[in-house]
Amino acid sequence: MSKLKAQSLKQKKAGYAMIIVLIIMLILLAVTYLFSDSLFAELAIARNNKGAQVSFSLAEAGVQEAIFRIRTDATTRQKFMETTNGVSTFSHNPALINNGSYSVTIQNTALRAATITSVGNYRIGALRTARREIKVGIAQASSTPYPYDGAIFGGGGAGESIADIDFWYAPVQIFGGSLLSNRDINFRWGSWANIEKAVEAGRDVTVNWSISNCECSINDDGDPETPQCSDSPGCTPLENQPNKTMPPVDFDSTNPGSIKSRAIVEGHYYAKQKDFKDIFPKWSDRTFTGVYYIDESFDLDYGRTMRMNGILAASGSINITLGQLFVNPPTSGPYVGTAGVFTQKDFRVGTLGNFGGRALVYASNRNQIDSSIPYTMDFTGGFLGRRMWISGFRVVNIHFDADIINSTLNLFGLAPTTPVIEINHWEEEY
Amino acid sequence: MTIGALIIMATYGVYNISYKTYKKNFASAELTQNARIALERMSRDIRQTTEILTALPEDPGAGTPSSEIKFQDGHNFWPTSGQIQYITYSLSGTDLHRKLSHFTFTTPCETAPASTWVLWSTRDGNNNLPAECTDSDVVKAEKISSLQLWGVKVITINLNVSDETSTYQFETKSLGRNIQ
Repeated sequence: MSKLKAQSLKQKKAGYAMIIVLIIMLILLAVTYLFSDSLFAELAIARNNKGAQVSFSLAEAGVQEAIFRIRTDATTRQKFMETTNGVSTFSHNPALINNGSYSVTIQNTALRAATITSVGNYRIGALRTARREIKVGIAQASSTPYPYDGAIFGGGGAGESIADIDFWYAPVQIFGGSLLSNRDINFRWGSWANIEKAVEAGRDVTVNWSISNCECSINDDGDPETPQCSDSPGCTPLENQPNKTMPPVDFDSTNPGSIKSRAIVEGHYYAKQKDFKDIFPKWSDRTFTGVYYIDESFDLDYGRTMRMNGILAASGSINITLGQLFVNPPTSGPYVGTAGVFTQKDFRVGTLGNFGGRALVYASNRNQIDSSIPYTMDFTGGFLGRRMWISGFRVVNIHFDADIINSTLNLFGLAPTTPVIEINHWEEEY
Repeated sequence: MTIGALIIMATYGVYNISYKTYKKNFASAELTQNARIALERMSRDIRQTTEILTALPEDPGAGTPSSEIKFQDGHNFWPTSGQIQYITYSLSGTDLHRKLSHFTFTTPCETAPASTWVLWSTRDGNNNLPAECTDSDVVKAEKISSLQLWGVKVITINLNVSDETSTYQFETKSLGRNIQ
């Protein structure tokens, strides 16, 4: 009997120990869970942080490689420099680090401007991947092919014997700019010229029965750098000044950047002016956008009103005989910020012609504005040519605008481009 | 029996201490997370901005650091398809708010289409500045007990996160990459 009691007690004690051990194990399990939960949460946060940082750095590396390729890789650079919507792509996997990769797209948004989209990926373990995307807007740094402030520039040089800037009974006002000639500047027969900045000639300045004021704003145009001053202050024109360079323009080379090539790409090339006039009836008012090239002289006549948002170019002369031409930069598309009239011979605004807008006028030979009773001219930009002739009684107001001149010449000029790539905007995609 | 009770009490003591440590760690982690989110969101937005409107001292020695910052949203407005919006980070109590707003001359301001949104400094024909309207106001982080900002272009963000028992200080610098 006592043996049985002792055995039962022993069994009870054994059960008691087991319960205690179970409780302890349960508590230890809970403690382990608490610590491991905390540990794994911290570990996950740390891994995510690392993944975010690494993928961001990879995306940045992709942007840098894209810029490097644009500067050094011929194919990538050609697309960037000579197309308006070219696309280049590349990727690396792995890139720089194990489990890291990046893929990059260079999408041109305009000529010599693009958006670089770079996606950096970093694999965290087997199941998760950190991803960061960066978008960068870049552009080829622009040079300043026309570094002067001449609203009218006469480059002089070979060609016709006379290569001067001539005013005949002409009332002319130049705001914010100068009058520059590599040869003579002549004010004759009652000309009345007010020039806000300087008058500089490579040889002589002749004022004959005329008034020439310079270095003064005779009518305040609101420019704080050139405050209004007294009437007729006069100035000493600068003579025998060093020659200045007429910026070259690529009219018709086979280079994709020439005016003709661009017009061909746009479907705006016309071998004859008749072909162009077929789409531009007499006495009509038409708006044209882009780059237009007429491969002979072009006469704007029969009351045509042409609103050119972009570039009008001709291999011959451009004459506004009986019509109106207004040239301005387009508000969208690849040629935003550029506008011009380019002729390999003369640009002439005739007596019954009207001209205005904001643009560069570039004549390989002569710019000429004839006298007119009905029309005045209010133009922003500049006239560049071998010589210039203005005769009254048309009032001519020219507001010098270096930006429109240089941005247009940057696209169509032959000045060497700088290798510098500008970063215009940088942003992250979420 | 007594030994068993002692063992259970000791084990419970270990559990209790572990649980308290866990709670404390959890609270610290939560504070850290709030700080991390605040710093990351602010850094990212400042990195992309084109203009900071709030006048900030160059360093704390040059003036009192600002407790809020307002700047133009640099995200999704470039090249041409986006809209002009402004971001304001400020504290309300211990909540960090991120307010998105726009400026317009159109009335009512709240329903003005995005195409009419303008830069804050634009003036109308009567030389008036545009009205500002809030597009959204969201709490991005909690338990932020103080916020200080200073710097020009490189913005220093200094913040404290606190709960009943602990306070931690965090600081980072963010370069406004689009600021001219």
